[in-house]
Amino acid sequence: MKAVLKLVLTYFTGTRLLTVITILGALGVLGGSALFLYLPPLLGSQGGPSRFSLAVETLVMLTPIAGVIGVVFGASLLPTLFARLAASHYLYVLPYGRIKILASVFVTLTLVALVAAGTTTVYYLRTPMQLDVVFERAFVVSLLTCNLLYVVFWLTGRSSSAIGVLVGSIVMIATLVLPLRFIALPSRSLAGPWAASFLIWGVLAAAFLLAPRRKGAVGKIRQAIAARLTGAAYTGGEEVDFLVGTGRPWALALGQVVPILMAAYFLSGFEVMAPSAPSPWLFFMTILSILAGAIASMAATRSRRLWLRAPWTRRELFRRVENALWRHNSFALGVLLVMFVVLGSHAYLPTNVLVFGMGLLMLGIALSTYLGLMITAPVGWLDAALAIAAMLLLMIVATYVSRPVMPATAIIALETGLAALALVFRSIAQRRWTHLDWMRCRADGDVRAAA
Amino acid sequence: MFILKPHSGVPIYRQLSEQIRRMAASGQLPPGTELPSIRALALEHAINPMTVSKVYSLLETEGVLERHRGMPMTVAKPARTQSPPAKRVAHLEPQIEQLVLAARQLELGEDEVVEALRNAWEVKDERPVHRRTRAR
Amino acid sequence: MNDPYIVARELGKSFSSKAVLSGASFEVGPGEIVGVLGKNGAGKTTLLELVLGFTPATAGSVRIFGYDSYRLPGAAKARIGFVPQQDELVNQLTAADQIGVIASFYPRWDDALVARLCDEWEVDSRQRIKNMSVGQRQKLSILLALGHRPDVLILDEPVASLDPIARRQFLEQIVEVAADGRRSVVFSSHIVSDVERLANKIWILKDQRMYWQGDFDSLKESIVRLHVRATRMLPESLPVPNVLKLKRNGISATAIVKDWGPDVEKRLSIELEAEIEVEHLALEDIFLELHR
Repeated sequence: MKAVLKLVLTYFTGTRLLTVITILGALGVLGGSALFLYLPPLLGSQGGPSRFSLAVETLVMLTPIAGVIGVVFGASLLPTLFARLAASHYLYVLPYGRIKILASVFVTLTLVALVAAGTTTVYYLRTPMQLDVVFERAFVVSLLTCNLLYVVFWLTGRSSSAIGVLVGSIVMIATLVLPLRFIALPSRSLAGPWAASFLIWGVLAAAFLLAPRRKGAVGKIRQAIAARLTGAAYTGGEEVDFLVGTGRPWALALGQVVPILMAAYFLSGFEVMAPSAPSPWLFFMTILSILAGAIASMAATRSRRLWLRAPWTRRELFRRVENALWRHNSFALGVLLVMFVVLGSHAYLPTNVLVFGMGLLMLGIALSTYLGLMITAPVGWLDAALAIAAMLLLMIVATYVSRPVMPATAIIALETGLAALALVFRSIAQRRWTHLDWMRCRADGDVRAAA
Repeated sequence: MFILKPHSGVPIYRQLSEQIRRMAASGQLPPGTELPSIRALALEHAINPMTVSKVYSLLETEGVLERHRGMPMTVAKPARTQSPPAKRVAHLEPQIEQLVLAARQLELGEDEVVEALRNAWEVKDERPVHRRTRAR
Repeated sequence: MNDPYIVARELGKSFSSKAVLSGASFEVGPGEIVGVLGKNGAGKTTLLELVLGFTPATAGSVRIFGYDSYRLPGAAKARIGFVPQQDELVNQLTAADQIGVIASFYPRWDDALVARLCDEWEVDSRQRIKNMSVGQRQKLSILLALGHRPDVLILDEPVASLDPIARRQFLEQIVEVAADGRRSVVFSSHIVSDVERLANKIWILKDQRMYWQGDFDSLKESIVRLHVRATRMLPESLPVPNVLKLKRNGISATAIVKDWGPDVEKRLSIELEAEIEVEHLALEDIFLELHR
């Protein structure tokens, strides 16, 4: 029993960064929910003017979600720790090792799903929907998506490739989307998600408990899948692209298209959205554009090999990597923009929303790329704070953009501000790259967690 | 207290037991001297405690050491009748073998070796050597 | 001896018709320190893994504490400690957290011992494992196997990355473990000198078989190198049983012989009319000679 508890605790607090994320997540959930409950009616309820500015409203509404994300990612050590233990001799040597480890995973998943479900229920407190139904549905769906999320993390292992991160992020998006879908339509049977959950769990647990005890077996399966997903083959193109991981722009584009399509499918029947809520499209797309940052964040570490093989100075290296990243991103950006226009007009979004939204997407990619490039050493507090602040800013501006009554000048000013911020990040990144010390870059959980 | 060479061809237990026997016989370890505990000796030389235990037991049965319950092993009083010289000489066998081997490699004859031995003995010994006349 | 902890009979393992180990029979009793030697690929790790029950035997049996190793019950596992060849630590954690996670599985954990060893071995428990050097990681791995004071400690190349000081500290700790006569240690190592100090039993694996196993002292006494200088041409083969190797050179020869004894020497010198020098070998030499 104490092993299970110790493991669960370690999943959430194993590294300093994760401890902070977990605590912030918990605070966000609790604080945000409290604010939600006790402040005058905000979004999602009777509509009508509220006392607070839009920014504050958005923050309050988003905080519990951010809190849930925090708690989910706060346990992101789970797949790593689990994978390491599962592939080690410890699994067989520790008394009742398998059972206890499996139990700890189950406890953690349930905990996270409970938090997600509870938070979702809070959003529906002032609506006429039945709360226990909401809770139950939210719990089931959260459990399912958490299962998927962590299983994907486990399979792709220490993914130092863009695709690994992408796959994980796709599932993360699903975590946000699915509960809403199933909750909004109470008539939809829960049998599906329950069955899926149990199936995944059953397979996982059986494989884990009964696996042939060749410690290579699990690792090999994992590697095979990861290799297939990431494609270890060098398909040609510039060396920069290969080494930095930007050789497959279509993969990034695909990684954006798929969740958007998923969201489109799930949300198409979703009626319970207050008029002043930020357009979900913009919301998701902004988040997706941040994925670009994930790839950029690996650039510093992976460029070491470039440095060894090419005659460039660090400054030149930065320029080339930056160019490679933009080449890579512009492809995905193009796809995003097209989708945005297509879906936007289908959803009858006003033109100015479309225009400003496109600007926002570009800014999102720019900001995240340069934030990623700024990571040339283990992520410190400043970097993490900057990243979170930038993300929040983006989301707030996204909210502003979708409001029907916002003056265009204000939006232009905001987006210009964001552009300036991107340039600031660029110059910081450039400066850091001229002093790049590869001993301090490490491609591991810290980097991934920050991204 | 002891000099042990784990990497020689001679097993450690034999090195240790030989040394203790010799030191006891020569008086270097007077009767009643306490020997280190098994654990302490094993730790000091980083050797297997079972080896030390084996040696102590062996020497106890031979009468060289005495065991006292709850107390360290001690050197026993010498037996009433001292062991015959032939038996004691047997303790010197390793060294003698080495000496003969080295002498052969240097292609020295028996006489030269005996001469050298005698000289060394005079230096070491305080008592005058009983010279034996030997027909050459 | 008292009931042995580990008993193996004709133990064998094959992977898809390729034999990785065959015909190993041995016992390990309380208080014994067993050294396992063998070239890379000779089957050392497989042997240890079979003993621990990671993998089922395809031939014969191996039992630990009376249970079939492969079906060892959870409670019995608390009496076993294992140090793998490559450390299996979680990089993201601090040493203290790693120790905490492993410790939580065991009913008894000696915090004082682990703390003392961390101090003596200079392992900083607040350091992140990913920032540790290879030597420190290995030391930590060893610590994790000592904390629950197991009755049987099995180590696979535990000191490959340690400097001589750390190795000596490790040896001293093994001596401590074995000193009470109730706990056993089995360790495989390339560093033959370490094995030489500590082991009282030696298993030599060669060509996926248990080539030699038994008391270490008898091994040293029974395998010797003979230097023969005869007065006439020597025959093709020496009239001595158990000659492992022979190199003849006219009237002189060198031979490695097993099961040596003083009477054999006498007989041989008479038969060959030769001078025979008997050289006792250090363990490393024995090992080399057996593989030449």
